[in-house]
Amino acid sequence: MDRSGAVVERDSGEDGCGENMTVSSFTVPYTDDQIEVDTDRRVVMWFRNAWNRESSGYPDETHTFDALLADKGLLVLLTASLAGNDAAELQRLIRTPPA
Amino acid sequence: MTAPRRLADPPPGQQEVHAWVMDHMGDLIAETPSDAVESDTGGPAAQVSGGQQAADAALRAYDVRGYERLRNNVWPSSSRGASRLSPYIRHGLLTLREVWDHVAGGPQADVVKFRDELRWQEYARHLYARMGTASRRSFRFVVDERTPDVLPGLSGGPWSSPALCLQSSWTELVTEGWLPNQTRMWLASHWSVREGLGWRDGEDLMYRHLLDGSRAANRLGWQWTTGALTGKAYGFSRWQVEKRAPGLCSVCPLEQNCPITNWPANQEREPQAVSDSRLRRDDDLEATAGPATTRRTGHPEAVWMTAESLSDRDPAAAAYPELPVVFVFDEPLLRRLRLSVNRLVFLAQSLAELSTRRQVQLWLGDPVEVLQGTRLATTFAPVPGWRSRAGRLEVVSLHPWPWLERPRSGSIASYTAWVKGGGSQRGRGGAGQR
Repeated sequence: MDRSGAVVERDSGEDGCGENMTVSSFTVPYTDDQIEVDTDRRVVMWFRNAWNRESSGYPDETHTFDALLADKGLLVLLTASLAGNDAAELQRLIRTPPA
Repeated sequence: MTAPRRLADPPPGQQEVHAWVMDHMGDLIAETPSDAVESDTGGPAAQVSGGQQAADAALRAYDVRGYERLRNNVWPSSSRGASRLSPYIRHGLLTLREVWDHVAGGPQADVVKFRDELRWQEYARHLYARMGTASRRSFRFVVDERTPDVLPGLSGGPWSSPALCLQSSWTELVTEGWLPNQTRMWLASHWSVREGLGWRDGEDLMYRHLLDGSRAANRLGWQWTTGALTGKAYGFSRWQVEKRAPGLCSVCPLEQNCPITNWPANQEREPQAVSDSRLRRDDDLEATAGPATTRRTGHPEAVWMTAESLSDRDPAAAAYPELPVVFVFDEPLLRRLRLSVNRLVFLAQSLAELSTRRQVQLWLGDPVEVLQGTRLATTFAPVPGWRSRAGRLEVVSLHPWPWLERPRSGSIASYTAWVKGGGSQRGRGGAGQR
């Protein structure tokens, strides 16, 4: 995904900008990539090279839970990049209905 | 400009050296910014001290174990994994080769990541050696370089903020003269990417305070972070703070009104209409890299030592242990740069210690004026300031710079291009770790 279109704007409303993130992090094995799951906003963010010199600082890809549930191929792509237990947890988070 | 004057050797002891610097160069240093107030976020325990013994002790004590996992940690400071060897590396008290060799035998992942960082430092040196003062311009992509009246009333500009991530980093920069790379990126991105200020103003300010401040590494870092090198700016937001300084936001007065909750607008940069062809090819490699072997044309009377190479093991100094070392605090340059007192104390400590082992003559003035007429031994330094001065002096014994790997003539337009061109010992692409 084009990075320029990938940024999720967090709610910066009057008192919303200090909200605590509800985020689970997954490390992509054998890479410096990191996958972050924001269950409040129901999005998955993929940071390529999260902490090395190729890092953009921004999420390189952002997918909503709904988009992932609608696109099985994309979901498989994400989960296949993770270790088994992390993949299962990612699946669980995405499939958990909104509170 | 005043006439050069000989300085007494600095006395031993931190307080005494500080007083010595203030006494001799107090009118040349930057005022300590009043907005860099002490915070309660617990900065590092102690400043890095100058000198060969301190450098060697720091290297001996350094254990690379855990570097891969901890290198980007910011806060609490006890969680950090950065080596803090950079001030010694920058001033030649430790060579990249010595540090490279020291970590041999450590856990492979840690060694690989750590050596990647050393390789980035070498890349910065190659880039600066070739491009010199042209590094003041945004290399490949258009990014504002200067902002008129950038710091009205605030010495730290946008870094002087109630936001703890910014304020504690700015305070640490001023008081300790050192930051982990992660917070250097935060500050540079905040300055240039979010606030849209000219990157050279921020670069100058950071350079003024960093004990390891070199134009080579600092400019490369800023050019990279602002997107001038790659076309894509690095975005700094609360996300990085929560990941690398967990808990800091919860004690920040702006916790509920965070100014960096969102990523800054994503900035793709426009390519420069014309980029410097030297980024692609070096047609004067000898001028960039210096001599590969010692060039002797006469018998030197003194060793000229510079801030690039302050070690007892400096090649020229080691070749002539019987000769006095001459070091000139470059008054015109210092007047222009307005370095922090911490930086000058670090230099003075290093020279004071050296003077306990061999004869050292310290001067304040224009180096060319001081050294003219003296037959000199010196070590090549891959910086434009050294070249311009050495060209006007009688250097009769010129010693090679201790490169980790000698520069080549191919592209240095990016780290990857440099690696592919043979500028890396591992000869592979990929990312080094900050």
